[in-house]
Amino acid sequence: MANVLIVDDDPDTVELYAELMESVGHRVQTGTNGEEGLRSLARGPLPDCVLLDVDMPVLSGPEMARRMREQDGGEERIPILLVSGRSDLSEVAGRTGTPYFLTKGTADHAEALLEVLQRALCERRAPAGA
Amino acid sequence: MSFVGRGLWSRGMLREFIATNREEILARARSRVAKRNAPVATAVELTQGLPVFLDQLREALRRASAHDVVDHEEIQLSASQHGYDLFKKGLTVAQVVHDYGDLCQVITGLSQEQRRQIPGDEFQTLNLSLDDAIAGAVTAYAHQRDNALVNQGTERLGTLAHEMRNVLNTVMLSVASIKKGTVGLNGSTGTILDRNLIRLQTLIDRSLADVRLDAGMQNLERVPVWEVLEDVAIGASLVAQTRGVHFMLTPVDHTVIVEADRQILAAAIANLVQNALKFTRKDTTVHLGASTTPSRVLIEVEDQCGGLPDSPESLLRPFVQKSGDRTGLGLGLSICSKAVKSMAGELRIRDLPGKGCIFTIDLPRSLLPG
Repeated sequence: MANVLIVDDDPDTVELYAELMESVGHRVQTGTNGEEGLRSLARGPLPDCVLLDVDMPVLSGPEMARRMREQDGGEERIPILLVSGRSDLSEVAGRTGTPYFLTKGTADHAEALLEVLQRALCERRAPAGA
Repeated sequence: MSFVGRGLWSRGMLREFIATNREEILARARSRVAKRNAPVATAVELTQGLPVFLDQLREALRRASAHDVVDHEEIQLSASQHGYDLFKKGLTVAQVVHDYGDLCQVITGLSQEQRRQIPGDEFQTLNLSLDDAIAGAVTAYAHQRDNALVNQGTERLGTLAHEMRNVLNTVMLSVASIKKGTVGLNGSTGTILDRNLIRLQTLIDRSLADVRLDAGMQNLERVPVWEVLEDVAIGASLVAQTRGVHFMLTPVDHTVIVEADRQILAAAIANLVQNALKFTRKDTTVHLGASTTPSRVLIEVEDQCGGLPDSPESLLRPFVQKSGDRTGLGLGLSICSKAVKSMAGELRIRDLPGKGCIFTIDLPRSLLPG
């Protein structure tokens, strides 16, 4: 089972994602914007994956991802799974440098989310030097 | 070459007059344009616009004097570039037309100063060239404006789809969770479902209000303000719970009535309240209420967001949002402002630095008996 950091500005979405993650045995940390997400990372423990919204107040998802890489030099290689209702999500994911993304509001979203998360966790490379 | 004191020109001399006085004509035209237009035209704009037209005019006059035809197409094409530039600089169609009119007035004015009389056929060519230039510039201007409107409409649809997807996602997750049987309909997931169905309703109401406004379909009637505020308060209370903030409706006298479209007014108020609930700080209160003067009704939404990062006026422009958050504010406030204006009212924003802000819908009070 994994540690998942959920960062989304909508409290209902955070609650439902957390409930979904916990239902399959994952542990969950949460934040409602990118700054809270970074604080959670700094506090530790480090998550195995970040479930990240794109458009958020204070600090957006892509900006949080950029700062994550800047701060740890990419050494931790924590996979980022972008989730958003944006129609240009694939382009945003490309710019953010993550192959994992899922559009909100699509059919069977819960199942699809768990599948992509599992893929991200399996494909996660070991931290540099490990 | 000087034309002073020569009286009536012979054919072709207007062209020479323009060539000789080119810089003087342009300087005077620039001066006129700079004094009249707001925003003030820039040197680049004048370099790409008026001088081109002036040179075209000379060419048109040369061809006319040589019994050739005026090249309407060439003048219109070059003028198109001027029209694009003017649009980008935010000028109106009227200003585009006046730019060319100014140039021609400078030419005729200068010729009068020098006591020269422009021959009829050359004056006709001058007018023809002016018509071509205005047609080209205005066509280009209109084309640019239409494109901008289409782009704005596309962006509005994109934003709406994004917002609806977010809410729909929460609804679908809630339903999936309830269907699995792990949570009950009466528990917290059921409450989330309720709240998000209300959010969906607010989004749809707001979009319908926008469509009705664009189509001029307002249905003005006497609306008791307390009824609308109480309707809005039902959804607001649910949303406040989930955000860890408080919502308070101050009761409004039942005799306070406005002349308004009930649906559009409700959508506008609901939008302001949703924004306030979103941005007010944790554990603070959003107040909704109304006060009156003898002729006005002031519906106020007050939050404790800590104050506005930008000028209050900038928030009323489409797609401008506080804190870079795109979920529901940018378009909503601009629609809200449009909605209030359609009911002969005004939307005002008061910044309370360090504390919060107050959104006021100021509407005419209906004093006629029901």
